Amino acid sequence: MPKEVLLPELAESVVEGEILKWLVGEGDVVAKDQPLVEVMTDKVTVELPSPFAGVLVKKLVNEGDVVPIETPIALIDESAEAAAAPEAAAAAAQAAPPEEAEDRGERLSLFKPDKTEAEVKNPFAGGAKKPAGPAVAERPRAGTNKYGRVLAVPAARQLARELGVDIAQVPGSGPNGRVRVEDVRAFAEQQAAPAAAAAGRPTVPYRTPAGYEELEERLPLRGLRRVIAQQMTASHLSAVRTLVVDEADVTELVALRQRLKPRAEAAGVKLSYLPFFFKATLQALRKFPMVNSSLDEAAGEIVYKKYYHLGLSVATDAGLVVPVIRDVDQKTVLELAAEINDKVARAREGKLSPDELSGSSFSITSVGNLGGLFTFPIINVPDAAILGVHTIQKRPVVRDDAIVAREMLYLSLSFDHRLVDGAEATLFLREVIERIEDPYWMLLGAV
Amino acid sequence: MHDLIVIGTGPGGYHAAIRAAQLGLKVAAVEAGAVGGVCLNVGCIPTKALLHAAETLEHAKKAAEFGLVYAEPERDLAKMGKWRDKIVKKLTGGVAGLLKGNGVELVQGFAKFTGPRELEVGGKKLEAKKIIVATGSEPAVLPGFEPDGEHVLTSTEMLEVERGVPERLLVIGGGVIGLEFASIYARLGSDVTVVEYTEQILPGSDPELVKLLARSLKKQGITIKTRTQASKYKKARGGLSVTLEPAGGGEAETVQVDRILLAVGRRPRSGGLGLEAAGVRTDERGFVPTNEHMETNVPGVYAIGDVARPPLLAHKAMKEGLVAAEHAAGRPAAFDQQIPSVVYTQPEFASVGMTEAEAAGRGLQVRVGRFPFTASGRALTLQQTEGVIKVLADAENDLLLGVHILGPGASDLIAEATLALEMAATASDLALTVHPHPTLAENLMEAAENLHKRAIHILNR
Repeated sequence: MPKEVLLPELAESVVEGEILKWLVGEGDVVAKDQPLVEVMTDKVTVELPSPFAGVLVKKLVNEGDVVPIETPIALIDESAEAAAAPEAAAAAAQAAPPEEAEDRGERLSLFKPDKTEAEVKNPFAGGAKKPAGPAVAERPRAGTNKYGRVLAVPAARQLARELGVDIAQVPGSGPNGRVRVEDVRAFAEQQAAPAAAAAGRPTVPYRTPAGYEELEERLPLRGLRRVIAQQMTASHLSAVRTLVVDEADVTELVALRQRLKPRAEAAGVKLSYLPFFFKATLQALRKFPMVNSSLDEAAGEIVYKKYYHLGLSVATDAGLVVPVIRDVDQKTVLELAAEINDKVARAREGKLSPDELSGSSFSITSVGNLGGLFTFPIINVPDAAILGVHTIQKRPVVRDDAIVAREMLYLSLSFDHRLVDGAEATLFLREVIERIEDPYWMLLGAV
Repeated sequence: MHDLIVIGTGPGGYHAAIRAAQLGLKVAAVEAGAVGGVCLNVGCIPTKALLHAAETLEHAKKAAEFGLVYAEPERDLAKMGKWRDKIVKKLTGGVAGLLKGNGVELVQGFAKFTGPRELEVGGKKLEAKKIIVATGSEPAVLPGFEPDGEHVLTSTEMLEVERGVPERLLVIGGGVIGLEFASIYARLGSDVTVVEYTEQILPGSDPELVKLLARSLKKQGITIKTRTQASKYKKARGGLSVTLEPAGGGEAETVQVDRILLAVGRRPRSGGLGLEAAGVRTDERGFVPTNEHMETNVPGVYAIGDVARPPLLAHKAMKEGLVAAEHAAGRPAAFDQQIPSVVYTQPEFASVGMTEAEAAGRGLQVRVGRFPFTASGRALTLQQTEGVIKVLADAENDLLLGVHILGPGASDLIAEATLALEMAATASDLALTVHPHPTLAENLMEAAENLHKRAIHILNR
């Protein structure tokens, strides 16, 4: 009997992954730990190693599918004869309906296996209306339920097929969690709801100009681009984005960095301006806790964070990713410099783990090298704000009534006005600026 | 060019063809033999005809108990055969009429794939957007007992009662087919021995009920030898001498019989169809694997019924035919139903859902309710009090898991149980539903009540 390979929990609070690319074909012999498939979750691509050796008899999901974790994605036959006759094994696997494939694969817990299962397993458990009483408390995920079959009336099964609903996902309101026709209907409506809610926002119709059909190419919205699109839309729709822009005279910082560069290099670290910006931001965040907060809309609570995890936007060939530097308050400038360099390099190679890409409390985007006066960055929700740092260049400014050339920098703070007021944001930005304008003072208080 | 071609007009095939036509497709059905396939021509239907005939003999004998004494019935086997054929003809004619009435083009001949979308039938090319393989199955063969049309017969040949009733019949295989023929011939007067290789007749079925059935069959004069294999036979004076060996090894014995029925199962008819030309895969047993829409590895090519997968049951094929046809017509359809099974022995054996062993295998705590037909008023009036109904439910939540019935009317009673399972009913649902009295069906309610120790007509110990 072939074993199922389940999509593992890829990172904390990740509930689904997109199947990017199969690395082996049906009928192929796979070794234990051989990469099976590329899966993308939360901005990172992971190659899933095979949990056991055998023959990949069947792929249960297609490239481009977005599947919840714990979903069976492939069948692998471990038996020796299967290895000898992959064709026959493939056929045999097809013959056995998936629910009969009793021998479910062991979990490939790549990361944090200690996560509470129920929390991640059923993304609908929280939102679904549940009748009072203990009977329906925790509905087992179908397919994996103890009967090997979703409890549902035949008409509900048919309706689910017609509405394109996976009946295994539908919370049943009948006795023993039996799925009724009304449940399927309600679920389908609920599924459609986010689209409809977003459709206070009308979908923008696209029409090809007549005669230019040949000059267009269409590609599916997939992979990282899809994640970016989702995250940006979420940010745009949820946060009340407001901008404050200011400038800083970083002549001293330029000199300081210049002076420290060789020392950092001797320690094996290339020193950029970023770690200084990180430190300045950290100190400002401490003074303005609101800027380091998040809004938990479901709970109706503001979450103040007593930790400082700073995300850094990095442009890669594949698209935008935001690695997170954790516990900035516990690291020296040199340590930050080393970590930033490492994460940026690995982000460009696509080698960051999902955990390294989540959990920011505030973010910084550096768009210095590419040009542009300043940007209006989009907030990495659920953060409350993001700081844009731009090109440092000499500009004429007035000092003591004389025009002098100084190393100048624009800073833009994009903040969620629901959490942070305009005055607060402006003062926060001033705090940052004061520190990068006088880095010696900043370092006086640095860890 | 057709929208759909169905290969085979057995129960699966004609269901598929008619449903596809109902959905507006241009359909052709190819038949190499007789319309209606094995079920109508040489399977379910003629078997049941003969079972009824043989049972009537039995009823006549038992009528003496209530004061109706018949003269010794005369057996006209030729007439019995004609009656059987009349039923078959009526039904196959009906199916042909339904195909025609629905606008399905019937093509006679043996279909062979020449590509994923084309067939050759009798030198003629046929093309279709979708193709459903519904070629069914044929009797499996046991080496050393190759059917020869005289001494070793298949079920098809055994239907021809006109051949005469052998004095001594050996049935190789204690499955559904073997037991049904054993019942027919035992009633018609044969001395029947059934040999079964595994531990019990009807392997996989509820062992408790199977034991009761075996006891009942023995009472009817049928000898049952389990864990036994027939290894060879030779012609001997006045019959056939068959060597039987214990399955686990040991001392062989010899039995003298006049005829042998080979009923060791059936194998899918997937060979010779040119499936390779279409790129359709078969498994090592010859079945054509499909997904839940009954689609094979080649999109647009479907397989249904016996050729697709076990269990080899006509009603499963029918449902699969409907699913394939609807899916081929672009409708959402999938096979996800419970499949009841029936054995037309006397008493009948029928079941649906899990056995106790299967439930235990899933780690379920099972509660069992039983009700014996000896406590049933209706069964008494029918002179058929053998058997028990077993209702299985999850001890945790009372959810119905399976129903197993040995007894009169089991083939019809199982339909209610199947609906209950499909509706995810509890044993209480069955128990709380008013059943008419006096009926055999009320015993299902009582078995469900017994599960809660509340049956009225027995002591719930």
